Amino acid sequence: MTEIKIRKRLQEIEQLERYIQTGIRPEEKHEFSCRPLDHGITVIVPIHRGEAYMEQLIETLEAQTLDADQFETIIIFNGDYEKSEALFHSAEKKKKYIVQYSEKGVCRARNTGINEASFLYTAFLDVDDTLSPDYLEHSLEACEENTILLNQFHEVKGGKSDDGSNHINKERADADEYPDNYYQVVKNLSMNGAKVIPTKLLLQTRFEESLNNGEDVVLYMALVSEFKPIVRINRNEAVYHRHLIDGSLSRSKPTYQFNVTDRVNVLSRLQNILKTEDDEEIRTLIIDRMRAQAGFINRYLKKNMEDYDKVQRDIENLSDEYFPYDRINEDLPKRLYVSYCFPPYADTSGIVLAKRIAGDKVPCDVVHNNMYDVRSLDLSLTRLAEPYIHQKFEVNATSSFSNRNHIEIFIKAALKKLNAGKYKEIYSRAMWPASHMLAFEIYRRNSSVRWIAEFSDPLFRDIKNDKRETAFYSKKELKKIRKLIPEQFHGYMDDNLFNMAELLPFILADELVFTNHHQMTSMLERFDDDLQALAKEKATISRHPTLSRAYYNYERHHVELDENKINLGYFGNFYETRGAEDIKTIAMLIRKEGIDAVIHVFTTNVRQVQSELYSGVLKDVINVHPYLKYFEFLNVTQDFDYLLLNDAHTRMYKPRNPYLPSKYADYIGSGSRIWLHYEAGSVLHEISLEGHENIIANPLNDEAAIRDHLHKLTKK
Amino acid sequence: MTNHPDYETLKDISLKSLRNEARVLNELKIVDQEMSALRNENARLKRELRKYKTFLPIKAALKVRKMLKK
Repeated sequence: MTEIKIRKRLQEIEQLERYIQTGIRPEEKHEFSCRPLDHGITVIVPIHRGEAYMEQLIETLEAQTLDADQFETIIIFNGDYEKSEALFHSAEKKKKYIVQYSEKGVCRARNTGINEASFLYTAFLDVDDTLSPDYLEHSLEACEENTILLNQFHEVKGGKSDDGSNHINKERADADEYPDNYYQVVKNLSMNGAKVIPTKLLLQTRFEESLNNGEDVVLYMALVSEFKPIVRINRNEAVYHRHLIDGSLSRSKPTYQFNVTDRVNVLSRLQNILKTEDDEEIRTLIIDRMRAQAGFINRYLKKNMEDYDKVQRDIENLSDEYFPYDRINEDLPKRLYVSYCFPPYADTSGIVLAKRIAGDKVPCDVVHNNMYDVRSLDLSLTRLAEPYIHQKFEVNATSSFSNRNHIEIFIKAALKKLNAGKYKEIYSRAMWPASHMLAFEIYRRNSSVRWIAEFSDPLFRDIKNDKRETAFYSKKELKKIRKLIPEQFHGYMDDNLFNMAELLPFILADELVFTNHHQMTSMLERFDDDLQALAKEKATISRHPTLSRAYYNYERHHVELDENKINLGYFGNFYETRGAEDIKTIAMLIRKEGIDAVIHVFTTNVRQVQSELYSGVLKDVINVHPYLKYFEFLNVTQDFDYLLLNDAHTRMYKPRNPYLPSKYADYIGSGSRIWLHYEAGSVLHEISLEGHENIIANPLNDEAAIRDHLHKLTKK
Repeated sequence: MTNHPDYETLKDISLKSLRNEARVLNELKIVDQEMSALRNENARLKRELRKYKTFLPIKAALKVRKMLKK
C-alpha cells in the first residue's frame, strides 16, 4: 500500500520489545557482501539414491553446448548415495564437476551447493530429470541481473514427452516476455525446475532446511517478497524435461504427514513472509500459493473427515491476518448458520453466534446480510469463526429490524445464493428476526433439514413488555404455511413478523436454544400448555459462550489505568432501562466514602455520557472512554480490579427479567473479579448465589450494600 | 550534576514509545485492510451498476433522460 513498511516495522517493534523485556537481542542483519562470481551458470544437483539415473544425468550434462568454462555442476551427495557415488566416479566426464556431501535432505544439499557456486547464475536439476543440450547456452544468453529466467518445461511420462502441453508450460508460454505481474507466472514460481536464478539472490535467501517438501514455493515467495526480482520468459529454445515416475509425491495416496503436517509447515513459512509484506500484488501471490497448499489439506479431509479435529488443532495457532481456512473447509460443511448480522460487522448478536461456531468446531457455511449501513466494520472479528467456515454468503439488502420489504429482499436474495438442499443442519440466531424467517424458508424447501433456532432476546415483546408488530405475511402465504403447522396451533398464527419469528421455530425447529430459563418462560408463557410442552421438550438453556484465554491476548489495549487506584470497568451503552444513574450512584458513594477508586466507562456515545455523568464533583471518579473494538475490550478486561455488570431494570414492566447480559460470558473468561448489580430474581442474581470466588454482588442501587462492598474493594 | 533517569525509567519510556508506534501502525494496517475490502465492495457495486445500466427499461429511461436534457 504505502512507502511505510507497516508490517515489517511491526515485526521489528515486537523484537525490540522482547529485547527490552528479556534481553534477547534481535538478530542483526548484516549488509550482504557477495563474493566475486564469474559470468556463467552453476548447476546444482542433489543426489540421494538416484543410481538408476546417474548415466542419464551425466549424459545430459556432458551434452551441453555451452562452453565448458562457463558452467559447472555441483553434485551434492546426501542420505543414501554409495551406489550413485560409485557410478558417478566411474563415468567418463569432460565437463567441470564439484562433489560435495551434506546431511540427508534436499534443502540442505541444495544450500550446500549454493554456498559453493562460483558463477553469477544458478540452475537446479533433479537427478531424474534432463535438460535439452542447448539449455545452459540459451539460458546464459538470456540471463540478466536481478532476473529470474523461466525456461520451457516438458513432462515425460513413460518415455513420452508432452512437448510442453502442461499447465505450467502453458502459463509460461501465455505470458509476456517480461510479465507485468508475478501472478501471470505463479505456477512457474512455485517449483525449482526450468529456471535460472541470480546466485546472489539465492545466497541471501536459501532453502528452509526444516521442510520435508514444498521448500521451492517458500523459497520463491521469499525471493519475490525480499528482492522483487524481474521475471523474464526465455524465448530461446531451452527445455527442462521432468520425468514422471510412478510413486512420485504428486501421485501418491493422501497421508496425514504429506497432506497435512508438511503443508501446515509450508503454510506457516508462507504466513511469515506475508506478515511483513505490504505490497498488495505480492500479498495476492503469496495468498494464492497458501490456498494451493490448503487444497492438499482439504483433499485429505474429504476422505478422512474423522481427522477434522486433529487438523484444526494443528492449524489453530496459525490464525492471523490471513490463513486459507475457507479453502481447507471447501465442500465439507453440512451445517449452515443463519445470522442476519455477522462479523466483520460489529454486533453483539453476531459476535455471540461467531463464538458459538468457534465452540461447535464443525465445518460450516454462514449466510448474513451486509450491515454496513447500520454497523461498523471490524475485520479482526472474522478471526472468531473463520477456522470453520467455507463460504460466507453476504446478502446485499438494506438492513432492517422490522421492515417487511427489506427482510423479504434479504430472504429472496439469500435463497438465490444458497443451495438450500445441500445442508443437513441449519442454525439460526435472532435478535434480528430476519434470521429465523430465512431459516424457516430453507426448512420449507428442505424439510429433512435439522433446524436449531437460538433466541438472543424475546422478539414478540420488547423490553417494556410492549408487543412488537409488523405485518409480514400475506393471507395467501399464511394459508400455505398453515399446512405445515398442526391445526391446534393455527389460532396463534397471524401476519405479525415478531409473532411468527417466535412461533415458527417453536413449532417446527428440532432444537431451541435460550440463553436463560427466564427468557424461555417469558417467551412461552403466552401459549397453551401443549405448545409450551412441545417447545420445552426440545429446548436447551445455554448461556453465551466464553472464549479461551488466548483470545484475550490477541490484541493489546491502550487504555491508561492508574496502578495506584482501584480500577472498575463498565462497558456498554445506557438506555432508559439501563441508565447512567446506576453508575452515578456508585460514583457518588466512592466520592462520599473517600475510596481510592476510579470507574472507567466505555461507551459509543462519549459526549452524551460525559454530560450525564460529569457533575463536576465526579470528574475524578469517572473516566469516560470511547467504546473499544471487541478484542481490545477482551484484552483490557484482564487489567481491571473489578468489572461492573448491571441488570436492566425490568421490574416495572415484566414479571421476571428475561435478559442475561452477554458481557457476563466475556467477563468470566478474563479472570478479573466481577461486581454484579442485579435485579431480584434475575439470572445475574442466581449467578451471584452460585458461590463464585471472583464475584461480588448486590441488588441494583442498594446503597448500603454498595457502600459495604466499596470498603472491601482491593487491588487485583 | 545532571539528573539522569535510571535504567528502569528509560526502559519504560522506550516500551511506551514502541507501543505507541505499534498502535499507530496497527491502525494503519487496519486502514489498509479496510481499503482493500472497500475496493472489493466498490468493484462489486460497479459490476451491479453495469448490470442495471444494461437492464432494458433502465437503459430506455436513461436514454429518455438524456434526450430530455438536450
